Amino acid sequence: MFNIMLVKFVVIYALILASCRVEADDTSVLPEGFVDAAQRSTHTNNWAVLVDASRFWFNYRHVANVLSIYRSVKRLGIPDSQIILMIADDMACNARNPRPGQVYNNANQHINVYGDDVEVDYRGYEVTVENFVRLLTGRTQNGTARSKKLLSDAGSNVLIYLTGHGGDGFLKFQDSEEITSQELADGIQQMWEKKRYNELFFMVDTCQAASLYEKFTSPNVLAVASSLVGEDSLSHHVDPSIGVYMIDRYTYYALEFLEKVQPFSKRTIGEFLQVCPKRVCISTVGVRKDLYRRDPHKVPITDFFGAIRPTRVSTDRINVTLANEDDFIFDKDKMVTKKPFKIVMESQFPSELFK
Amino acid sequence: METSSSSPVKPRRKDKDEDKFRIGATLAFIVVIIGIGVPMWWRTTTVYRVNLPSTEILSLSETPIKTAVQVAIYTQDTSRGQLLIAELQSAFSDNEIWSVEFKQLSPTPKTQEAHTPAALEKLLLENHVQSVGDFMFIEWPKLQEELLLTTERSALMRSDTPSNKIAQLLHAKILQTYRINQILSTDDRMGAKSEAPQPAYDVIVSVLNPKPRLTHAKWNIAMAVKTYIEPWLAKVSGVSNYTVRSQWKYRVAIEADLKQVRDQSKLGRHYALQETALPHLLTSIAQNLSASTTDKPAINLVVYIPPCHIAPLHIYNSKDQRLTRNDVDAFISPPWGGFIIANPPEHVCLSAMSDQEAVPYHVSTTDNMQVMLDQLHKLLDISSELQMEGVKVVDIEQLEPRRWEYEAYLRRSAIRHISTASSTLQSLIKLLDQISYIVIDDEVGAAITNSYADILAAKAALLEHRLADASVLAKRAFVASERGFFDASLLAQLYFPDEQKYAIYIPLFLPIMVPVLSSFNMLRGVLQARRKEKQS
Repeated sequence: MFNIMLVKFVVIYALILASCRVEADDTSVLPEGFVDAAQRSTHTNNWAVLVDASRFWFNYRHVANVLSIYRSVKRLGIPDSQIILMIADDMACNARNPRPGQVYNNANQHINVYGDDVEVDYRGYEVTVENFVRLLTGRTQNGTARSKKLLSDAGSNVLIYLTGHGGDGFLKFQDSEEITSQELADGIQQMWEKKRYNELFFMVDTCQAASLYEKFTSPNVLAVASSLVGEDSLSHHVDPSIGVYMIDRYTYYALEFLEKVQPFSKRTIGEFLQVCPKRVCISTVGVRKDLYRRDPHKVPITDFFGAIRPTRVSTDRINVTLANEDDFIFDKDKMVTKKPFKIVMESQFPSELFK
Repeated sequence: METSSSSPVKPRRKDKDEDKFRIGATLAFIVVIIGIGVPMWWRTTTVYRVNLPSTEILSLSETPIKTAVQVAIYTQDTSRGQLLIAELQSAFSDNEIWSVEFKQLSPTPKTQEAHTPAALEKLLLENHVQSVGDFMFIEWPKLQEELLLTTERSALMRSDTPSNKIAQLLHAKILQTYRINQILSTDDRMGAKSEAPQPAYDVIVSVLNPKPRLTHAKWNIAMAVKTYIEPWLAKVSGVSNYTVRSQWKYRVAIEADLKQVRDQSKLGRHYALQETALPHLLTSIAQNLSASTTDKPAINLVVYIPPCHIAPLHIYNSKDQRLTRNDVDAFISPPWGGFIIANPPEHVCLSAMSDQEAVPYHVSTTDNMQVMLDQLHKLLDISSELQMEGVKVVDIEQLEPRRWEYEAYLRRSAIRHISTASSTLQSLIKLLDQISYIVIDDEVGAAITNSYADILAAKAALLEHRLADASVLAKRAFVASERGFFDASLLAQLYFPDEQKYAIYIPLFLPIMVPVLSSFNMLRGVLQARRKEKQS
């Protein structure tokens, strides 16, 4: 009797438990799913435009900056054909580089950001304001290779990373010209009008970097800058064996964060925006979110640094047969094995004559 | 003389004689500087822009894109036909996208006697001419399904098929209303994210054999492509032109984690490729397919021959279910292309496993080409994959797409091209207002004007039931609008923005302008003096 009671009790308890769980599921799944749907990115591909605008050996750190981001986006899956890399000078093969073919992000030479295969799309004196604006607006000169064009579309999430020497409202290119914040804003506005991006993540590591995104008006742009207007961005440290500053502070900490991100990581852009607090960066990181619709804390970092490529298994076939298999045999004659031949050894010395 | 003494300027007698010359000189300066110099400066520094039909272009979106389609219905019983048409007409009466004209085909003694649906269709087409994009429903009482779509411009229906089923079929398969809505949607979250078809594509068929020494795969791929792919593409080149290339690529390995799975085959195992790893796999090989050697967008069709140490290779989903169907392991990734895994035959790998000499073998053309053709249907977005209950679609048996599918694709592309071209032109006009340095030279101006004219013509052609013309016009409008928007000459004045106009010329002009402007004061004095002289 007691046993049956116990069994009953257990069963009822289990039922209640189960029903509770179902209920809990029901209440949590629905709104979250709804929120997720609104939060989920609608992009179909990823592009990255990475620009180092300054040349000369003492600007080694800017090349390290841009290669750090290049390394991360490539590792997280953006193919080289969708990364536009502009580097104003060749540090890896600079005559003053004591480690030819290598560019490091720190004095311990922990990460060689130059890696094994770097595909530079615009190099040396090709890195100009004109080429950059042409790239953004898609108005490249006739004869520009396809790999040098930003062929993004309405489903592209685009990452733009700029580094170099900047001032209030401009970024210097090659020590000879500068791009103004207005030109940048115009370029992005033109991209938006032609539906050439879905969302855009704009990242700058220069002095007074925040001035560069001030004039943006296009929607779906999230911008982050290493320093506010009136502030300098600082470099991280010197490697005495190379003799120059290795990398800038902001990018150093950004790379440190990105190195821990894996392709299916749950890390968010919100976390990424906080990689460099004032305590380590010395400059204040500026963020502009008012043009961006989603909550950065719910946007996975791989929406911009990773790649998406929709694939679908398709196993149907169209039942058309036009010819026999024999018709497609490649070089029928070659397939026939060669005639066997026999090697006959001629005797070297006529020994039989002396017998 | 008293009068002149009261004027602010008090010229002495000697000066007064010189007044004439002074005024003359001043006037000459004013004429040269203000009359000629300023307009010249203004003219030479303005950004060159051809007159564009801006207001007309901006009002393009006011007239919606509407397409006319004719649908004929043949029933054995005239009254049923009338009823169906009345019901369908009311269903399509206030449609914004479609203007569907329903036409009844009445039965004749001949049609009543037709023994096969094909014969009936042929008889009906003798008296009823179908143009591109039209459609026809033929009643065939013995049909098992409610509706059966043929490979031509027709569907068979049973005698009891309700009109709402027909309307549903028209929306879902023939007209593809949901996709047109997606194209025309202005909401950037819900709108279509795929691109309009480009005027030209490169189709690159690549056979990957990573270990050519161990896998002696033989295949005349060039011949296979010539037999299957090229003729098929020639049939669908109404919207885009295709150039086909084929190539063998050796030593291009895929990057993916493969898991060994035990099975009952003679080899005793096969390898599992996770579905989630497919995007990365494509990225790892994409670089080596030399798709970037041309300026056209490429469609890659890859046949991958796994080397024996990882063969046979099959695709598994995240629930660990094998996704092989019909003996096919393949996937697509629009718009990049398709990928087929062509596992070597068992005996080849058996001998390879036992360290014997590699056995040469032939890759099956029919197997791979049939899959590739299906992939192309999907990649070019020609096939309609929507499944409907009670509706069956006849399998394709020739080397061309089903006619109604292809014509729906033509129609969709035309609408796509028109809407993309309109929005491109509109955004360009908006940008011209916002950004002052954009140059519009004669060539770009002509492209824009032509594109605008073609858009109007294409819209008219769609409404007038001329799909073939509309398709050509829409494509031309699209190409011209893209050229207009992306022409390199638009940025010719990039280094000469408006600030430059003042910043450079003001320092030049100011030193000259100051005496000229101040001489106005003098002139005014002299004139006042003269007026007073006259009054007195």
